Amino acid sequence: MSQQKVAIVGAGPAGLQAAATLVSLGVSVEIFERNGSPGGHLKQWHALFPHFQNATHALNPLLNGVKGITMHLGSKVSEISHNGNTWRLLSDDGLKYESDAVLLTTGFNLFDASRKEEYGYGVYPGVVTSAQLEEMFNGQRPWPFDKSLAAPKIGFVHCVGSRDVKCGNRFCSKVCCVTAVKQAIEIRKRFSDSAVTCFYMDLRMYGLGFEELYHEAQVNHQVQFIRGRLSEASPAVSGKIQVKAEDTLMGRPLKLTLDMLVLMVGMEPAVKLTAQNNHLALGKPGFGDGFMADRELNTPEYLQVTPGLFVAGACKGPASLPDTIQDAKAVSVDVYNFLKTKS
Amino acid sequence: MYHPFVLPFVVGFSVMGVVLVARYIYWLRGMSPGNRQRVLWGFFSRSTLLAVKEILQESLLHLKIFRVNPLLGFMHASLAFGWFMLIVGGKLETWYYTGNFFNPPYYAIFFRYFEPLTEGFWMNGVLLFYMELSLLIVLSGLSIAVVKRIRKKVVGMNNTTRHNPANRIALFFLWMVFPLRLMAESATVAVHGGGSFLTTVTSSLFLSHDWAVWLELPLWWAYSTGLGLFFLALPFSRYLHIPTEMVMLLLKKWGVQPEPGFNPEKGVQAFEVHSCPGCGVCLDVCPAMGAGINSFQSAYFVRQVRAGHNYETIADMCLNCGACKEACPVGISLESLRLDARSHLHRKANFDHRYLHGTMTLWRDTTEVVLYTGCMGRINPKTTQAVKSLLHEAGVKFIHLDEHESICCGRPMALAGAAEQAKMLIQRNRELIHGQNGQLLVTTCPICYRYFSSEYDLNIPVLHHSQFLWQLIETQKLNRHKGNLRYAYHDPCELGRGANCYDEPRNLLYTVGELVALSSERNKALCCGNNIGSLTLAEEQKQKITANTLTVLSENSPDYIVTACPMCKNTLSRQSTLPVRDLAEVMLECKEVNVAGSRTRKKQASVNVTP
Repeated sequence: MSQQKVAIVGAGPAGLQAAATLVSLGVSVEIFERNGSPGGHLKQWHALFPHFQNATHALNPLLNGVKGITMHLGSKVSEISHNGNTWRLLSDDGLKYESDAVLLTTGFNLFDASRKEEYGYGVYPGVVTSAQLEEMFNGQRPWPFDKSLAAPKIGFVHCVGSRDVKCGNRFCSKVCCVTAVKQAIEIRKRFSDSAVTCFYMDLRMYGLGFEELYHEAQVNHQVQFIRGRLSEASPAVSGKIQVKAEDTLMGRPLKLTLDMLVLMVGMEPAVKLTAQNNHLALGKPGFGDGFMADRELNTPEYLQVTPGLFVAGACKGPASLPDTIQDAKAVSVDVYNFLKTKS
Repeated sequence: MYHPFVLPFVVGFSVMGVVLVARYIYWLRGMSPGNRQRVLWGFFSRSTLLAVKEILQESLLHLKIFRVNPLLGFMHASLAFGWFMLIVGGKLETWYYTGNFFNPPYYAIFFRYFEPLTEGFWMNGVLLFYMELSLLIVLSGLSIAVVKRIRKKVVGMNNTTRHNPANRIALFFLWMVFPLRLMAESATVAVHGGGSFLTTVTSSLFLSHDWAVWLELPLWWAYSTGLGLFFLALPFSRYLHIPTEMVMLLLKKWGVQPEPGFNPEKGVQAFEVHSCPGCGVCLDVCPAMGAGINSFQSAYFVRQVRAGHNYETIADMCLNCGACKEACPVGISLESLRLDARSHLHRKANFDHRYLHGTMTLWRDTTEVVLYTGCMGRINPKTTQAVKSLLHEAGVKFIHLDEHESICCGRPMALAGAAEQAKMLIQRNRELIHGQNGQLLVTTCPICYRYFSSEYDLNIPVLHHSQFLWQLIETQKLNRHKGNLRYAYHDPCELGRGANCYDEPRNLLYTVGELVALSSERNKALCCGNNIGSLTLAEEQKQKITANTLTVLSENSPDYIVTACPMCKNTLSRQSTLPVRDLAEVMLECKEVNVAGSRTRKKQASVNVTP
């Protein structure tokens, strides 16, 4: 078959992996990425659960795999349309591209923690997100408390913006529980006299090695796990944060003064597909708009009846890095088979 | 002066009279001695005259509805006042004709049958004309009512009440009564002659003499039967409101207070419950209606209360924005009625308030302002911080009463129907507030503000922070320049309709920028979609209300949505694509911009300004 072309939207792990797989199958690929560099959220991450693998060790093979592939960085695709056998992409900067198939790997956005004003993100400097904590581990961001502090007290709030009907996100973001456990252990390793408390709804240790990590956090690292939601965070003396919660297992209210409060922000879809006349617009999702697996894939007007449009990775729903990479490989084979039947 | 056809009317009318008197006596007997005293004192006072005036204005002329919707007002006025004119005219006719003031009631109602050919200027010239004019007025109102049932939009209503069978039966007879009267009178005119401008025309239009002879008596029978059946149905349908509303207005003017608790069959509350005509004005103003929720509106709530079941769940679903109370043409105390109806919901809940006794009363030096930010302030730290910064900037000496510990103001308890529990909180909080030795209490929460002002009986004045900030601007303790950012202001229910505070927040926004006009604002403002006291309305439904309100707030593309209630802010900001701020945050941000010098209007991708 003559070399057929696939446009990939998004250069996160899913997009990079899919590009490498498709090229190895003899398909011509071009990648469109709205940010200035590839790698998605992974490039800001420090270490990965459950084995504390260095994130750059996971990212580098993905970047090496796409060497020689044309990548349009800083190019935000705003619409795609289908005409006969040809797909047309249009980006905000006026770029046009035609291909035989389109693969959307648009990934996720982190939940904007300032939407939960009661936790004080953006109000008190000691309140940070889980992603910012990774940057602190990386040395890219200063710690919000004095590092020479003898025994810093640090709290983690699970499910910030996930499983939260009031925020329009009913779903579980899946990876935050084990991420919090991983980060709690890292804190305990870094600050040997620190005290770490996790506030959770319930812990979802679904993957291999996750439960073991949770056990290790309690037994070897004395991380406290309290089942209860935080009711509020308020300022205490000298930049500390006072949190109130209910220990629902003990059935009593709880008050703690912390040096840092980490909000485990969940995932939200980065892009919403909307059918407009004869094209699909890639827009900003609104309140309560779910992932593509929830909405667009089930909408018969497009995707399922539109041959040549494929979706992979975390834009379909919350996913861990290994899940995303495996999905990208699997969908790449679907794309390859589709191109083969077409030629 | 008698014919057997009057019997259906006489029976219906008598049964209605007996039932009404029995029910009214039963309700009145439920009044406390204090209220009975008020009735006695009020009976021979000016209040009675004022009540009569109000009965004329509202029960008959329906001026309140008229002001809002002239066509709808005309419909109600022509039905009620027209009928009233017929009753008065009937009395005058029989009085003048017989020379006796007292005649059997059926004689006046079926006067045209008994006396088809009256003579003289007054009887034939004036009274006959007047009676037919009155009938025409009623019929014109009736035709609007029929149109309203079929095409409600024609009379400017988006929603009409869904009636239950008893009401539909009564409605059917009411609709039948006046056309039947017209036809019966026309038949009599066709047979005997006489009649004025209306019946002479109608009789010549569709009744030949032969037919009229044959039809006259059956038509009078039908008219009497229709009227009798309507009166029979009246005490058991929504039309009970017709006599009850008048008694309610009297009782209210005499200052009769509702009996404590929920009493749909006792005292003034019973009269209120049965004064609801189910007119449906409360439906169109209900913010939930715009979100497609049509199960718990006041008309349905009151109907359930009368039916005596299921009213608690309906009462609990409502978010208490007060829009229906504001619009109710009868003036029923819907909000307190609803809260009282909730009182049974949580009777089994075990409220533990032992901690109240452990809270210290702090006696402090005199301070200018006691700041109370409430529980909602705790989940809106930006608002709290902004207010404190502004107070510092203005050089106001203040203490933050609930910076670390706080007791709820009690309003959520009251909203949940737990009035007794709320009283415990009020008492403890009052001690705390009085213990601060302050001159003024300022709160950032309209929910607390309304409760402090209405229930607390404090020894210092209470202001909402918007009012206090406006005072600071007026006295130039705070200085701001006008910028060109555009703000849409959301009236919080508790501050606007609840505490009648509409202007100060707007004045503040005028000071620093432009205020965009909205299609529903001030006392018609929509609910944010949340309430601290009712927990049964599903989150999805609340979010539909919020989305609907946000659509209105965004309609003129403002730069910011601004509100003055931490709960509204919390609810709106979760769903809004536009930034949502508290007034205090806006005032603080404007300082920074003002200090930085000139400001430039933020460029927006989709500026769509409709004047």
